[in-house]
Amino acid sequence: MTECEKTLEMLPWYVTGKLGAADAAAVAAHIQTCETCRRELAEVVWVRNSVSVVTRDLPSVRQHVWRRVLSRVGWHDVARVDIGSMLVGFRLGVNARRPGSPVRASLNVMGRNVRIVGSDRRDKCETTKPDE
Amino acid sequence: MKTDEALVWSIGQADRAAFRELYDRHADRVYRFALSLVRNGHLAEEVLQETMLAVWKQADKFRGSSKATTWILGIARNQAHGLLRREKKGERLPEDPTFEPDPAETAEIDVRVKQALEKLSDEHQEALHLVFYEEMSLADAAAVLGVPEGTVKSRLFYARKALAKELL
Repeated sequence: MTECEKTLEMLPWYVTGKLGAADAAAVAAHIQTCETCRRELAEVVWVRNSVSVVTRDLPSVRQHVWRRVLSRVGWHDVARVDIGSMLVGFRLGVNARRPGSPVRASLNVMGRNVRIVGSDRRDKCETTKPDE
Repeated sequence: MKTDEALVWSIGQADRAAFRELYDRHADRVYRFALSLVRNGHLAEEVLQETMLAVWKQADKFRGSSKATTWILGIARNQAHGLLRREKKGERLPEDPTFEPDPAETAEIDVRVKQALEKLSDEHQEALHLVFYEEMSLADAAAVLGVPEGTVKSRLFYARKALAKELL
């Protein structure tokens, strides 16, 4: 393989800064002496910029997709009862989810959640999120 | 802060908080990659959902031989191609017409470049996306695409030449 061929193969990662130091140095040294590879480098930079033009406006994923993911994983509640009082600092919550343990209950005391029913593997590390 | 690989390990232990954190870190990345493959917002969302479901189910099989990002995007790619195959067979309903990109956003996009990119094959587009948008190394891009590194190089080369022919 010629130096030009080696350089051409590495140009995309030279432009994105993903080459190792030795390879980057080799490319830098070669393009200083090779007009053809300098033109190729310019084209790679141009293509990268073109991709950036299109991808800079790619949208973010919509908020509701997380809920759909939860539903696909099977975490949605099919029934939920909460009894308690914020004033005295406790809350008893009972809910049914599928799959896994059909009924779970927990006691929330001063902000700490204590599981009292339901212990399948998928529940053991639960953290309640505001939007779940 | 936990690394992505540590989060995947925790998900393998059924840690929901880790799952949520991994989703927050990578949802946009997976969605945008899917969008570059399926070119449809609803389908890209579906790819994201299926990808995250697979991550949840398969996290305990992740051995850390590749980066978590590479693993996740590899799953997303498989989901996207599977979905496109089903689309071609007509197994799905047509797209919901209510989903339209924001005109204010699309107005800013260089339409000519966008059209030229869309003319490229799926293989060329995904290679461009991974290397120039995700800025992946050659090894990582090859891992996501499931092809040898030489194939990634040649796909990028031909994608570049096709774009140049179209636009220069």
